[in-house]
Amino acid sequence: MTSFAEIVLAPKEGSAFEMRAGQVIGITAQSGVSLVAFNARDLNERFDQARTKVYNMKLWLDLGDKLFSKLNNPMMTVVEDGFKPYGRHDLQLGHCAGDSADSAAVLRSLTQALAHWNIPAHSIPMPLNAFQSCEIDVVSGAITPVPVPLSSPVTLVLKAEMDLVVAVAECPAASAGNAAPVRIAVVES
Amino acid sequence: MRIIKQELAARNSGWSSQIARGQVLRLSARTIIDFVAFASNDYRNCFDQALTKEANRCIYLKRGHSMISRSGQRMLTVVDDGFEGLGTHDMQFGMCSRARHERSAAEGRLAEYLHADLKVPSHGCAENLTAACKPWGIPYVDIPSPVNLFQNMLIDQATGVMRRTQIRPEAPVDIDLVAEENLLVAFSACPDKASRTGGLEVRATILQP
Repeated sequence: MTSFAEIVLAPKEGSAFEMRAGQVIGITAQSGVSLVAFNARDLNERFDQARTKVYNMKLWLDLGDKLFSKLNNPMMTVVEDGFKPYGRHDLQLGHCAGDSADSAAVLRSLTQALAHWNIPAHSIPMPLNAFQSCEIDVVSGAITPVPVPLSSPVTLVLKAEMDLVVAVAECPAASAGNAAPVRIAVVES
Repeated sequence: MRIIKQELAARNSGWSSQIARGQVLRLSARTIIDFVAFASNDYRNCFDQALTKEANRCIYLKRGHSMISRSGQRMLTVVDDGFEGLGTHDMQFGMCSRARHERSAAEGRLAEYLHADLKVPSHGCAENLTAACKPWGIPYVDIPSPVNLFQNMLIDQATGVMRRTQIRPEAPVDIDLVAEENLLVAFSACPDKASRTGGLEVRATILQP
């Protein structure tokens, strides 16, 4: 595999880039990362938390599960998940999984990163909150964000199922502090 | 309370109306309702599943909970819930649609809908809500994922796997929501392929306290 793009994100920093179908993105982090995606050929087709959960019929993502768009098309597939021993990536809450101190800043970062594609804030969907775990009591419905302090960075790898514009931003509160920077690599599979 | 408006939405159809702050929307049904709301002064500021779950610290919408908008404002608050004790209102799913049902059929997954009649409906909640929102200039891609009233799901605590259930009210029950702002409200009377009925009509009443 040949890496052609590597991005390093400081706390609350965002970045956006294009991926072609078949390429994979590796996100290596010790803190939370909010990720959204758009069909590069039709930016009105956006990642959708609900459609993703309906397609997988699951509250969260396992290996092989797909991220879906609101138009019912597969956008990405989970091909590697180093977070699995520690928690479950959140698909319930808003940017930075409900951390209000960070969510506004991170939405601003995503908006700035997506300005190049003229995607305004209100068109940015609620994200996949990678490396951010929630406890859910399925009887009462109670949901509680549970920060997972990682002693070293772990990697989530997603394969693009269509040509995409992807935006990511770092969520500091999800980490135990002194987290390593988030590293993003997009490579040919 | 004085009745401002009362209308019946047929099975597998959509409905929409403006509602003023302080008025109560009473939805009476024994079928799934895909329900959304938009701020009247800015339709981009619409209901948001994620922020609603965040604010209520709950994945279900219950009595006393508020539906929250994209900008974090309270839109509607549940003041009475005839489904309480029978089942829960879902905020995991989106809207069913022709595209969704076709994909399920192509992948051999229609049985997940639990219904003996596995014919693909010609349209679903996405089409119904799109039609209901069209007069207000809101396209499908800008209609948020709804709160799915009376859609009781069975969720496995350990795996997170979700299954549809056939738990519905035996007779129509009311859910009352008070508007916290001036709103556009819209819903689809879901074709509800999981239920024994295959979807039923929904009565919408707007009440002035």
